[in-house]
Amino acid sequence: MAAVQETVDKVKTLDVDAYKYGFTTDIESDKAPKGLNEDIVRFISAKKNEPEWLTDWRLDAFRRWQTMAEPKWARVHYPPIDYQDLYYYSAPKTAEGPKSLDEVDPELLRTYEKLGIPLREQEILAGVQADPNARRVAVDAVFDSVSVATTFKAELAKAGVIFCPISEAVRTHPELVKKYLGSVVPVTDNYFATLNSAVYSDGSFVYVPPGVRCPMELSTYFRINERNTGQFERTLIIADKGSYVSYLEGCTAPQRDENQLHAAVVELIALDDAEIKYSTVQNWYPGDSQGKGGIYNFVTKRGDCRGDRSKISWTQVETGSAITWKYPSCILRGDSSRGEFYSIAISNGYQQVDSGTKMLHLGANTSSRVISKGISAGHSQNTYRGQISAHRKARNARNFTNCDSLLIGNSCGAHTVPYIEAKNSSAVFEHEATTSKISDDQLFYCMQRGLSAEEATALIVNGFVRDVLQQLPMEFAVEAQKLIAISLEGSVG
Amino acid sequence: MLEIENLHVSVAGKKILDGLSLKVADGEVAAIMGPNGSGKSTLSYVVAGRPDYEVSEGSIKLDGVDLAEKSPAERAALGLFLVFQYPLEIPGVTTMTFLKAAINAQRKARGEDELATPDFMKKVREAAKRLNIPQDMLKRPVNFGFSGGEKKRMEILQMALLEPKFGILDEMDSGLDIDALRVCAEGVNALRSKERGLLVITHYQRLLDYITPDTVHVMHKGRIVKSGGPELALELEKSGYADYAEEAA
Amino acid sequence: MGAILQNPTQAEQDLLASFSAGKAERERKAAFDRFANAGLPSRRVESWHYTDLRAKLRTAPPRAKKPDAAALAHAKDKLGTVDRFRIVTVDGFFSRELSDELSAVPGVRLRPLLEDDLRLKRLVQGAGDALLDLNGAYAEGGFVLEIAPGGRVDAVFELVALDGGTGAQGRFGRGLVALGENSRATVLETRGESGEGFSDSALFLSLGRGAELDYACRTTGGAAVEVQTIVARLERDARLRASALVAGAPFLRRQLFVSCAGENAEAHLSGGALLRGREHVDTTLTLTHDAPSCISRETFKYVLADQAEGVFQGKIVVPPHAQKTDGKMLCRGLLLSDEASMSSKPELEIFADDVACGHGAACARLDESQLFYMESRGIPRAEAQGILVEAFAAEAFDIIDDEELRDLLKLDLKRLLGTNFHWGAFS
Repeated sequence: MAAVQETVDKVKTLDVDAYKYGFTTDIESDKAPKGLNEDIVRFISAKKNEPEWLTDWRLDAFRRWQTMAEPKWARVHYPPIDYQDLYYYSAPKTAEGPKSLDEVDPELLRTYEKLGIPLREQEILAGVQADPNARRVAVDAVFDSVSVATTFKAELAKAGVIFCPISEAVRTHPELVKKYLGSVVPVTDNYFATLNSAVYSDGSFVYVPPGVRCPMELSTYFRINERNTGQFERTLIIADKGSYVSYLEGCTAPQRDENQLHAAVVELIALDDAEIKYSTVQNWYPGDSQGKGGIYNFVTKRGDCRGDRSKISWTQVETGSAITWKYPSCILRGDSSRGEFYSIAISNGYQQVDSGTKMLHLGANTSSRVISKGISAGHSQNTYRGQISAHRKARNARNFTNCDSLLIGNSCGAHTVPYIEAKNSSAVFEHEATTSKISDDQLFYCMQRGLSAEEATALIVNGFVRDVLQQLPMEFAVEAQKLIAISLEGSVG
Repeated sequence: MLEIENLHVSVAGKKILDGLSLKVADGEVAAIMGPNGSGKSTLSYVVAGRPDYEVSEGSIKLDGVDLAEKSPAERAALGLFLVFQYPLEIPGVTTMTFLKAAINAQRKARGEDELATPDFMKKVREAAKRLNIPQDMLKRPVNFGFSGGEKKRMEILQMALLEPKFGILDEMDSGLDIDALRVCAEGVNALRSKERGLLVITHYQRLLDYITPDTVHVMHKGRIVKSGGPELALELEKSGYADYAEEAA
Repeated sequence: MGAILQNPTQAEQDLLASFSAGKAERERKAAFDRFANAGLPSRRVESWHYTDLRAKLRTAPPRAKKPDAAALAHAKDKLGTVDRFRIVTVDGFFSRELSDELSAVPGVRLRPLLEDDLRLKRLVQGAGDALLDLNGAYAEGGFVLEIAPGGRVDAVFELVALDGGTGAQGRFGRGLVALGENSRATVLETRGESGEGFSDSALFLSLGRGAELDYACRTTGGAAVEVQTIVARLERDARLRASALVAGAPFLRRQLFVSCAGENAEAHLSGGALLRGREHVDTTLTLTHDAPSCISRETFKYVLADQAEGVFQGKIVVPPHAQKTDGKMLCRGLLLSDEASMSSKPELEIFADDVACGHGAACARLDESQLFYMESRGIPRAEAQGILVEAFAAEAFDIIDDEELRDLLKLDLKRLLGTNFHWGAFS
């Protein structure tokens, strides 16, 4: 109940257009020239001191990208993107990479402080944080295109867990990167993934060795700062046989009038008996109440349950971005593997969300579960798009899907587009979807008990999304709950 | 007469029945009592011929006919009837259609003529009346949306109509309040006869207050560990199953 | 105008070539132009995602001509005697000779269809589809069945589509059933055209205020490649109950465009399809709630054996002004064979907030514990399967209010499944 009260308080104190992460950081940066061509691709690769195979891999992606067309099937509308009018590389200016946190630009550290992200592991280790029960979280912070700090590396290394910027992993663990990069999301997978392959500058890399349960939550915070900069991060997580890892991702960006492009790729690989839990709280700047500005979020996230009995679980809370185009998916290749997708997608203002999942059942006895809660308010459009398919050989495939939409106000839209494809008789698929509004009776009941319309709405919405919130790690769940309330501000007339 | 000899049964690779032997004569009412997990329900399913139950050893005979190679429907036609612990709901198929299909399939298998519709209707109505089953329940889909008590009454109605040679009652008392239990037990008692054997499977002695058995068997870990008369049930009521667990071990 | 299509297929060339623009009416020419721009839909067209007509229809057979005496005689042989008012088309052309005389029936009128019929125009505008346009371009000899305002006809009208023994041809039937205010009718459509060639038929249903129509289409067989389009428009308080029984169609696309155009209209759509061999049946419907307080219900059941492919795409559209919409859609597939497949795409497209909409989709095989229960009562396995399959499919016909029509569909279903259940190679 405390969390609900907090939500209600938050709603009271904040203004409609308050995007609390909308500040910029004044920091000198090292940018590549505007525009995109092979030289830029080479420039990025050179900046990263990459081996030749990776430079060639990028160039191959770039050449293929030039022959591709932007996908048009999603229910999102935006003016054409001028890919030549963007910066593809921007890094905080330091002579060399920071060797310790002390060398990191203090401006940057202040930025993360404002975001509430603990980077100073020493402080945490020294017990500065009062709550002894607070779980420790290892953080990789990505500022614009570059990973600036990764905490708890030493402690993780003791367990054999590798957690570092992917640019570093290319140098320190080339065999792993070479083996797995692009193995889940192939270079030519789709327009935005191909672009990412050509120009990605950094992101996080995780490898959990066989039988290891990662001793703490791993987390990456992405921050876009620079104007006109595309952010193209790349995340690669490998859970070796019998291992477990929980990974959290948070995203913020400054408030700007123009739109910024974000096209990330996340690849997850779970080998036999391994489990990966991937949680996202996406809070990119959504644009102002008139629909000006905001992030274009075109993300490809895919997990490959490559091993038998492996499990990948996606949980997402999507509240930000002007446009969201995102379908975290699972390829259920290993026998008895399991995929899960839990999603809350909230849209307000002029936001457009087209999100969902794909569960591709290839192995025998595979199962999947999809719970999606969409909430549309203001003038937004919110679409769930999902595909469940059972291959001929996927004996005894099981899926349960539930997608519910809630509409607040009559200028928004909620849409459901599921594709359900069973290609053998032992598949059992169940799909349910509903669309409704918040019941007047419920609202009245809450208001009779003294809540304002907005408070009552936040309360009811929190109830509506409860099934999904429960899937989030504790700290994230509280943050997500606050975000939900903030995102719905001004939605009740 | 039902004869089970040295029966070994596994489900999904796990041994459930481990050399069970049991004889129930014509006209005899035998009770099997045992703790949860002793294999009571498995016994009822395997006699009825449910798929996925692997018989590795032993035999089941009804009136001298070996059931091993018989399908569930063939066993039913031979006169075997199982009162399910959890009767299945079959949406879309009305109870009347279902009953008629069952009666006529069995008659056909025995080389008898199909029952004419008016005769069939009369028979069902009379039987339903005896069990307090309202007519409109017969028009609804089989067991669909029925309460626990309604489902059990419907099972007994089916038994009355199909007039089996041998009946197995699998935890008939589960999910029944005392009034519903009395109605069902009366229905069963009305079906006792010197030709018909019954096997009453139950966890609690309570049911046996209403259906008095001739013999009582205690089951543990997949076999019969003690047999006796009705007094054995009362003894169990007092001392519980713990003693038998040790005996079996 | 002209063919803007790039790399037209042989079938597209055939279809485009046989149009003579000279004396075509305005509507017909416009329909042709739209088709010429779009071509045959392939899987790239979202609403045809699972039915690639462009790939399936390699060549277009020659267009059927108005039936001659021999063709009429051939069709007449197939007509039995029934206790229904029959409206017969042969090769897509309305035949007054073979149809029953309706002039004596009060409140009923049967006559040829004119393209400038205002009701028809309005219906065509409400639906956009290449195959409907193709039908509009080529259909000749359509009919109109009109029920006068307040008219109530107890007997069932049967629309019978037959062929004239002319073999593989392109057939383009077109009909309009128009119910005046507060009228009521029951219509059965029986599609019994030859198993050869290509058929692209369209039936328009216009329901005036408070009108009530029970409609069912039986397709047992059909052209090698067949498209059936149904376009319906419901005015205020109108009730439409439309069902379909499909079996033995080699490659069939049924598409329904239904618009609840007036307040409190109510549309119930359903279908039961039995597929085996390599049959492909696609039901694609768009139900637009174009007025407040309308109700819609859709229930579609597929029984799939062998290598059959079932497709269901259903879209409920609720624009901002359609408050108080109540829409529910259900699709269920019963897979009897390992190689059968079912694809469903139940969509909701909702712009109004005060709505209660939902859909469900499920596919599974027969429930083993239900089968065991029935078997334990002495019902042999095959018979038990038959009973379960019949019950599964028959539920689709429960929406039909007219008892005669509903019983007829259920009886047909029973007959199709046979006394000894042997649907497909199922054992």
